[in-house]
Amino acid sequence: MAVVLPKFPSRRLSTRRSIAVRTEPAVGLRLRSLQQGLEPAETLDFEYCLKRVTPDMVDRLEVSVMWCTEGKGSDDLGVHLFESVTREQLTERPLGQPRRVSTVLPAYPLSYEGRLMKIRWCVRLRLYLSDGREITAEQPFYLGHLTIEV
Amino acid sequence: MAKWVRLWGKKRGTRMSGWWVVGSVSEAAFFGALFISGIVSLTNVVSSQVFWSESTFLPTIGFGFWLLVIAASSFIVIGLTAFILQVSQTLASPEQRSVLVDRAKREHQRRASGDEANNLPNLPSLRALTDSPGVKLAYRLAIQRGETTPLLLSSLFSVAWNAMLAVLAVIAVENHLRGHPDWFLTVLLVPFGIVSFFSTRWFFRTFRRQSGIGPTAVEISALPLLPNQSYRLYVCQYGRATFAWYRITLVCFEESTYQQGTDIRTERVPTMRIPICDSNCEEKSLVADPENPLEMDCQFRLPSDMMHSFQGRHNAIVWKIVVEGEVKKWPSFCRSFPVVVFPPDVV
Repeated sequence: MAVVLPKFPSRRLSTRRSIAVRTEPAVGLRLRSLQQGLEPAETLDFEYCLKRVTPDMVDRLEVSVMWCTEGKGSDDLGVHLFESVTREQLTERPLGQPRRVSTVLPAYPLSYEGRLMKIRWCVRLRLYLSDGREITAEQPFYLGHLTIEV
Repeated sequence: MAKWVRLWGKKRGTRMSGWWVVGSVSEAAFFGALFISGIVSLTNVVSSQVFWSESTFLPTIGFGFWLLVIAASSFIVIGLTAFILQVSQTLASPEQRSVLVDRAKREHQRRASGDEANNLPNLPSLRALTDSPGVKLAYRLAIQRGETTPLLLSSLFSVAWNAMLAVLAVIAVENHLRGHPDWFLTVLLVPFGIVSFFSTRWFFRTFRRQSGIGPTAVEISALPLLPNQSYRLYVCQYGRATFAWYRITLVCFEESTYQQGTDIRTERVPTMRIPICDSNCEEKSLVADPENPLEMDCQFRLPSDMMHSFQGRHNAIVWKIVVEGEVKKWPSFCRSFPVVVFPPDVV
């Protein structure tokens, strides 16, 4: 019988770095549907919240529901839903409180995994901070069921 | 601070080391400087000709003047375009840029045609496929563009090369007859003759392949194609030929365009084949003659889990009806006819 030991990282984060990770701004994003595969014309429901951020740190937030291609060719991109949320709009409610967004998904392009290219759908958040930094969060999902087992 | 002073960045997978702001600012500064230098040089060239010209009434404007104007104008155009592009890339996210571009495109199309209801982005246009009605079925499909390109190229090259060889041969013979033989030219005629032989052979082979088998007409009952639906296909093969086998298939190709160094390349691979008709001479007679062309009437059903056609800027999914066959004593042939498959919920 083989003894399999768990693999731990060879290097631990330094104390300063682990404190920095715990205190850095972050974006929480999750789909509200139980499964990641959605059909065309179905409603995509997701929520996001901003963590460890004070109102004066935020410049604006961009919310996108989009598809992009991956693979050998140069990347293509299409945006189904785009919202730019200003600091004033964000600070109307506490930043840590989840905010819901929903949209009816289009009929195409369906998620696809081929030999040269993939079409990938995702929800993408870009948080622009006042100091010029940018934090991105992404949650992929499937549109249609061409390339996933149902 | 180290990232500010680093001159060269390293590529780590899809990202670069160092701070992207330094690269963007430097690039914008370079193109801004190019734009300003273009304006300065154009002003200098024009004003020196107009105000300080030596001529009495009209300045002498010659070839050099126009060359300088064109060079300075190209500096202005390249610098301004790249500067605006760089600034927009820095200020707006890729998603925001995509939204702005889509909005501008829609607005342009609305103004041009007065209607945007028929516009389906990222799906190939049906207009080119449905403008030719068929004799037996609804639409007659057009053959894939570019199938005659090798014939055209080979004929052009062969004619040009043989003409050059003929001129050189005449000069060489003339020199020999005059008693002043040019041996370098005479020896050069040998490799030129070999190239001429192979180019002529290439032309005749291509011509034989293209013209030996008559034209193929393909008609289809409906367009666009939809998954899980049945369609009729009519194929008529003209000419005089006896086929060993004749095959009709619906094939899906992936096409990706990418940049490799300074070249732009396109790669194409077939990913899915749906057989429509496969006949060989043992099953039935596959003979076409001018009075009785080979006719095939097929019916096929598309699967429900097939990918639809897709047209991006750099990537595409293309469906084609591919007609292949092998004729006795002739090289095998393959002709393709593009079709469009729509997603089920669009129509």
